[in-house]
Amino acid sequence: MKFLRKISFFVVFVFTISAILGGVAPVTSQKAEGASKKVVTFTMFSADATVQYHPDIFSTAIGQEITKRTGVRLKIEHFVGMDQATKISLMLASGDLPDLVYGSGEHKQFIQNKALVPLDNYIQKYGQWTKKAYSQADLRKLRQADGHIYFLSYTRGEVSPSASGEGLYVMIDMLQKNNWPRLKYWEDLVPMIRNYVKKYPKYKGMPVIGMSAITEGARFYVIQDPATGLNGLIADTVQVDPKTYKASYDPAGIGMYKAYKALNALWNEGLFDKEAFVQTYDQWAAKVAQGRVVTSWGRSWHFNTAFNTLRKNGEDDRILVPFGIVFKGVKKSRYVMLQSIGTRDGISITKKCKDPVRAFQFLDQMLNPDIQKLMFWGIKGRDYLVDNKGKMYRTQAMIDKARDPVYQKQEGLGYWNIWPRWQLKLPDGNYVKPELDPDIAYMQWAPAQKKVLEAYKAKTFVEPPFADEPECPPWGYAWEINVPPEKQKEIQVPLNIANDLARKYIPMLIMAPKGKYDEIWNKYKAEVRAKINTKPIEEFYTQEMRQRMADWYGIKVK
Amino acid sequence: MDAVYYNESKKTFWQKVKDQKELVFMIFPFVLYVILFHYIPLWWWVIAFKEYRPFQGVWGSEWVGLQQFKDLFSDSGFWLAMRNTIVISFLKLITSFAAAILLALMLNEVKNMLFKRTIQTISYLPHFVSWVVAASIVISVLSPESGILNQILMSLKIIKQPIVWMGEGHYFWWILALSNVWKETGWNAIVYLAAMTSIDPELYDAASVDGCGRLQKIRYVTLPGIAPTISMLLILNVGWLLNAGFEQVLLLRNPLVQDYSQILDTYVLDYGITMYRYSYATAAGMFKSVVSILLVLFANKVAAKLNASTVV
Repeated sequence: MKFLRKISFFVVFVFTISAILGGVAPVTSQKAEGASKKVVTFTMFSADATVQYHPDIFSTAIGQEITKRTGVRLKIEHFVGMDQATKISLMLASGDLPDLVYGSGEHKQFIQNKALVPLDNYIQKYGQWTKKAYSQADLRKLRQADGHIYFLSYTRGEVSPSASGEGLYVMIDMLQKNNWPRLKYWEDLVPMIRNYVKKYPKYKGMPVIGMSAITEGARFYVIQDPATGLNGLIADTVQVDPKTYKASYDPAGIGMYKAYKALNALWNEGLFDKEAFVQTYDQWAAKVAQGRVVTSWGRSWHFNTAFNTLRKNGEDDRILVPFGIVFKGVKKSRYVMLQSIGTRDGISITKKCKDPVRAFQFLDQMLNPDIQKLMFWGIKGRDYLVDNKGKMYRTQAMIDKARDPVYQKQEGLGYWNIWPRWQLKLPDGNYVKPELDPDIAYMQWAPAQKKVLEAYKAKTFVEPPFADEPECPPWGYAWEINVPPEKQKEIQVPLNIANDLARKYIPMLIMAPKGKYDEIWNKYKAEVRAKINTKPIEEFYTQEMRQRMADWYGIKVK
Repeated sequence: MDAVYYNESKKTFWQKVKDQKELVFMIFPFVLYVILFHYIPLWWWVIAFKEYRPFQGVWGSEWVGLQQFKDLFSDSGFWLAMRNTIVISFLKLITSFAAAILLALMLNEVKNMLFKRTIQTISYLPHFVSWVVAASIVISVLSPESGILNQILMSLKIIKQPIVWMGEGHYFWWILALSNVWKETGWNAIVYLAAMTSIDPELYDAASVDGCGRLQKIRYVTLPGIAPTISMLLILNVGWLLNAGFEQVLLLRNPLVQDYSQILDTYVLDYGITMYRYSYATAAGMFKSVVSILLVLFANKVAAKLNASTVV
């Protein structure tokens, strides 16, 4: 009995002690670590979900070199999954923030919830490289609604020649069999798909799919692209009149009717993917990788892994290339758009940061051209060479090595896309990133992709005939505008409801049986009109756009 | 007199504590745990009556009274979510109960121990698979082109065209219910099997003497024997009626079945948390909790009337 009693006391003791220590322990150990070494360790959260993340980038060759030069090491936590909003919403509510933060599409929430340190004074005082890499006009655009700068944007308004482009993706094999047609109009593309699928209904025993699309979860916007893309509009929340900067918003606009009617016709012919609305993203990617998708809607980054698989299997003629397909009568395709400077997100310093000055100095050091070369080009002699004129270049072997995921991971190459950077070129005349160099860009394509470029006498996939001259709306993009919390109910909620309605009706419209399309469209239109008051939304965005024109360029419209 | 009485009672209480101090100490961490993780969070319900913003803090945020509830109840999306929650829960409750009891009854009749154990193990294995994996199994089995179900039905010439199982709202409800049955039946049956072992074997012998067959034994001995377990589990499950299975729905839903797949939990996520409307989300969650408590009390009352076991 006595023994039991002792045991029970012991158990209680351990429980209580561990419960008390549990909350305290990590903090003390962290401090000890910082003090023992000279290197400062900052924590960071990154919600960048578009690329493969690195488990510990600062342990790689490039990361270690950066630590050596800046004296800073980052412990980065990465967001995994699809739902950034939930993660960031809960992070803010708990108040448990890291030193540095990158919120991707939800970055505005950190700003609106006043969780970030304004950088304006730091830029004045410590920003020796920042002031060189970002012009006054750039910094003006980065000012948020409250007049402060919270991040340095990484989008810098160049067209990357190595970008795989945007638009409707079309299989190389079909282009070749049709003798490299100059594709521009939807009306010309459809018979081509029809004939191709009729002639080659199976590939490796599996049915060939005329047209597919990604529709899963947060990637649903892909199937909303036809509505804007085919009609030559910018894929944005609202459409802006370039003269009056007046925003118009119509979730059931006339362009949409035409676009989905066209897809509906394909569906009824059996050319549109029957599984389009029930498949997951992975299932879609698998189909593309199997080489049996003739055309597909999707954004360039969705295709990467599938194309790599095709290339590895030696089936690179089943890769898809983008075309700025529009309806006949539309003058210009607007799938490839430029972003002069991203006003939405970047790396910020939070108010929980132990040493914001040191953190900013680190951000500024990252703009040092030597470190920029490290981040984007890699280590001299191994990842790039310099000729006697000082021009940086890569050999074919280096390019192939840089494409290898295993090597990327070990070296730390290709993981730095969210960091502040110079625009196009560094002060010594070299391109900031190897992919911005047209020569290197060309060398990285698969043989079949090179053949396509040759056939169309083009150097890249972002020039005619693949895309029209990219443009840059001076007002930026409406999707970058932060809806203030007090307008959430008036603006954001109806936008969400509109999105939900689109989610419900777009599949129904595309899958409508013959002759039923108009009936469903009218139902959709009626429901949109009944549920959504577009007026406050239009007014809000008009005001924001005009404000931007005034703030950025001093243009006032009344 | 009063004072003496008061003192005495106080004394006896502390006396009792002193006598059982080991037990009190042992229970202490768990009481602490319950207070910390189950009662203190309730305090946050206060934000349902505010317009909560993290940087203003709970007390700094503005009071809005019942505005959040007004918004909630006037939103047709909420009522749609409510309908789906109730329908899906009912379907799941009925199917999973029936399936578990049926499986337990059948396993109980099996006399070959090796066979019985094997079946039992196989049937409860899916319980340990997470919904992430289970959902992708369900989706690929039901997919129109490559799914095995459509292939079987096509080769048996039952259907001509593959059916898009995941694309129809009413199918979706049944898919939720049946995939839940597949995943949980074996696990749920364990408790009934345990209850059956406690039935006195003499009752079966007596039933045999009275001339009962196998089915009659099940009807008159086994079922009444596990009736208290059934009613208790039913009451406990009624409390979960507004939880239609968040993970399962989140992973299985797609845009085609939106109107049938939105349940309260996903509604809170879609229109509350992901839109940074913390107060709105809290109001919806609070409503759910209150209704759940009422449901349990109601089920308990009914059970008491029926003279079966009660929980509260």
